[in-house]
Amino acid sequence: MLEKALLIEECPVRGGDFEHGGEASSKIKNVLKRLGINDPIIRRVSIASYEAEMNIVIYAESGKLILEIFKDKIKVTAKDKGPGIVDIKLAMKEGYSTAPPEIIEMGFGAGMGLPNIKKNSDRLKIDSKIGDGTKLVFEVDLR
Amino acid sequence: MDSIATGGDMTAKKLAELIKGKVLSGEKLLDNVKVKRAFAADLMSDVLAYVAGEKKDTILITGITNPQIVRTSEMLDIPIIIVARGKQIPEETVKLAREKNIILIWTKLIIFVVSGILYMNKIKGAKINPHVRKSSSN
Repeated sequence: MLEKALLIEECPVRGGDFEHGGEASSKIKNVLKRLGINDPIIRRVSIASYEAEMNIVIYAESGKLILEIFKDKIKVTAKDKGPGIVDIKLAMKEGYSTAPPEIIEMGFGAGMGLPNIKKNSDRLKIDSKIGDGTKLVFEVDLR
Repeated sequence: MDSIATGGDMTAKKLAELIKGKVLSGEKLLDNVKVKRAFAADLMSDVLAYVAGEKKDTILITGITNPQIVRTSEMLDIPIIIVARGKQIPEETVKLAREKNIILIWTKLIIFVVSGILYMNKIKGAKINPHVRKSSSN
């Protein structure tokens, strides 16, 4: 039987909204803090969430972050309606980016996002459909 | 050279004075927040990938002014942001910094000079995440 999440929190993310980009991750961070999860784990989840959220802000029309807390792990799902990722393997490569110059001027799109999510999580899975959207799931184990 | 707070820690107040900075948020925290490391970048992606400031003692020095500098700092527990090059900071960035209790300091100095002054005053390079390719922080 699949284990049930002890807590689920859903946070909407708007594509192109750089002013509020990061709010969903901020909310996730606060939930984890309130639950007394230890700092290094909060940090890993926060960084990975924020990277995933900014990917939605930069590339997609709309999306959401879903936080699920289990007895032994934290799971975050970033789901969006957007262009999808053409080549996931290439997108995972450090330094590879399809971000336009105005995004780079804002301090993002350096091709570090997905690799950084991978580094900060214990498991990462990406499903993408061109012209439809992307679903990214990462998990961080609670030890 | 002026004396530095014990343990090599520098108060935000001292820091603001050293770089002739204008404090735009977190005025009440100036005496209490102490730092000892810094990271300078315009790419927030790099800040997120490199900085391992678990001790909440690291400053971000940047030329970027959008609210994402505050969001990035929030995620990494960075207590002080220095915006260099005299860049005009939008109101929403200042507002967000106030909301998040992050000290935002504006200075006309360029990043190189800010870094030089801090280095001369015993501020070290940020601790780098072990999982990124080897770089020297000092």
